[in-house]
Amino acid sequence: MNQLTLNNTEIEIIDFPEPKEIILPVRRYDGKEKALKIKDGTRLVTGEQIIPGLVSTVTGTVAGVEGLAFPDGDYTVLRIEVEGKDELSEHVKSEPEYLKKDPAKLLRLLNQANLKLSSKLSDIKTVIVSAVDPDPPAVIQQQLFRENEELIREGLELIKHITGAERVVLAVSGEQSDLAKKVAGGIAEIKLIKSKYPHSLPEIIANDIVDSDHSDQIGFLSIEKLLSAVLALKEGLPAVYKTVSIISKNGVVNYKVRIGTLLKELLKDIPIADNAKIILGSPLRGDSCYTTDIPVTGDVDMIYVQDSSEVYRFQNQQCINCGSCVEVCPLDLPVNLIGRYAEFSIFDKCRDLDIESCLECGLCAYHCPAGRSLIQLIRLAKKELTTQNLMTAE
Amino acid sequence: MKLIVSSPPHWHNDSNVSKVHFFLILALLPVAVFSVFTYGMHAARVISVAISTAVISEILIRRLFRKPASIEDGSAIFAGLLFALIMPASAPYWLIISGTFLGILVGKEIFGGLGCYPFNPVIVGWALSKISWPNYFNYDLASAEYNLNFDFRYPLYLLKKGGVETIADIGLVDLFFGQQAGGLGSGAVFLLLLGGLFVIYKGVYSWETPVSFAAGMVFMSTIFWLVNADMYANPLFHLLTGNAMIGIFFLATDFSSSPFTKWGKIVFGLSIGILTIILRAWSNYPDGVFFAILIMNLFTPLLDRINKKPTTAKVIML
Repeated sequence: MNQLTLNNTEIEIIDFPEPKEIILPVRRYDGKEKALKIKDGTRLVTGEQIIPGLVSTVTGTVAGVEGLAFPDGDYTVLRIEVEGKDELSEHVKSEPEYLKKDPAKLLRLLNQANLKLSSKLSDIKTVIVSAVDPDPPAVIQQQLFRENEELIREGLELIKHITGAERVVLAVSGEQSDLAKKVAGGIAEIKLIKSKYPHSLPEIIANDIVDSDHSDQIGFLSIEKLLSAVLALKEGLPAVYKTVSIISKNGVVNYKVRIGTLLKELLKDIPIADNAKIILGSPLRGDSCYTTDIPVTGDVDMIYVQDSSEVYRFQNQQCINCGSCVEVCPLDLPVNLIGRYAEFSIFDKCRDLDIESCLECGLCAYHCPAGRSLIQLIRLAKKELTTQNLMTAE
Repeated sequence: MKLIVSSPPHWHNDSNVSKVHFFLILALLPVAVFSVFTYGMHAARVISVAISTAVISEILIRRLFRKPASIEDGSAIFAGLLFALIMPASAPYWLIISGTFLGILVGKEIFGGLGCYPFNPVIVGWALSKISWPNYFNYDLASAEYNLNFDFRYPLYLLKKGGVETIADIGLVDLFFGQQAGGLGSGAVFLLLLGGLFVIYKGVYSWETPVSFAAGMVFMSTIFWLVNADMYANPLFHLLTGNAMIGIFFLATDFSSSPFTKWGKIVFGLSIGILTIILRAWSNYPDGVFFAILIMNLFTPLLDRINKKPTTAKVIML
């Protein structure tokens, strides 16, 4: 099977045992010391707001505020020791009659329940709910879609109510079109997605759905987030879990884990030899980790353990101009030129060639016969352009 | 525990430059064998001299330029083989050696090697030799000393000198199966077609350039033919003779000197096709494929600008 084909096998989601300790990223460390007004030993309960935007996902005591280097940068983090018993914060309230309530109030309730929804909901005309995993080989969204027909139907109604969107589109893979008709009938449109990466990426789905002028803003959320929202309102459960596919030589396992669980806890049954790669995210877009002392955050879909024999080593070879990268680029960017300009630090030319719109899907470097590390070059150019204020930050 | 860290993607489709050239050489191998069957050891001589000159000159030039040797990528072997297949079987040693050497030096390495040159190095080598020593490029008479089992006349030469009547007795099926004089491999139309389809299937290059090249030739020759069928040959004759097939599948599609955008490739191919027929009809040379490709190579950077502005929807992750 082609690596880029989306996985559609049925893999049960298993509850992962409660961890002994968790780590929550508080904010990105920008070089300035900022005191976090929380003392060691403070007791936190599940769903309690620690600072605005940060909700404790366990019941336990604070064991320290530290700095931690994530693959995407340095963060100030909070270490919490977990108590055995789970206690729910009184601030998280259920609202079973949600369809009759004011959307602004619901949004406030949802954000108290750790949903972290964007506040710019009013401009959105179209909402896409995706039941397709953006990257292979994870199988979370499709599995959740299979397991929760009823809740998803309620969720679609809820999201339509909160955003006031004219269109709600349910994106599903071809295999699930029958189920989708049953679930979305009368509420949402159905969009069948080709079961091959990159058709599953949010931007590509959105491009296929809206007209060419692209003036509308499009909201995007996954089935998992939709389910969390429904459960938060219906049953008053804060969003403290994340479903993660763990992929290794042993195959694919789906775990429902507490947000903040450390990778070493999740990977303790998997033998990891020297020179292996642990990828936080998919093999196409994810970042490789230098340590397993990193927690699972709300936007990690999979952890991919790559054996040293499978690790691909990029070459420092010159571009042969074969055009494979341009051919596979979903946006038809001239990646060969961008890569060369970035290599020789001619960053303003990269901007002229629309490097800004690059989605970093990784297909160019995946197909490059010269083995050039194109995403690295693109990231370098983007970073340089942002620091020189030549490009608007994302 | 020691972990490896790198930027994404962490997967690769396992292609590499050597593999790409391996497929190209593999596609040309039947053509080379066919030429040996047709022209005997003369063909084997031209092919082996060209390939060894290409490899040796690339090693020497890269050493002179203080660059690492790059023989393992296969591009020099491919260039040498391709050069041999467009030469006449009678080409003397010195002509093959100087042509290949010039192609590698002036056509390729001076610009920085694979991926950097503006003109197809094989055609550069050929054109330099052809213009310098035109008498040694007589595809037609050159074959006279060999014992061939088919008409040794070069079809395009007949057309140029004698007009349409002289080619009336040449069957298109014979042409398709390689019963024609010309460059060593240029005449093996069916093998070139198979080889070309093989590399397209393997994803070495895309279909746009070959298809639009052929379409451009058919389009232009049909116009000529419709205007005056007594003066101009029919489109199929053009497609099956001279260097059309080898140009369509192996010369115009060269990575470095051809465009990489979809519409750039299509305009590039169409223009070469049209130019080829114009040169065949009105120039002094019987065949115009190589000059048409060289001319269009010049426009490659311009054609690469034919690319639509990327449009992405504004997506807000809820």
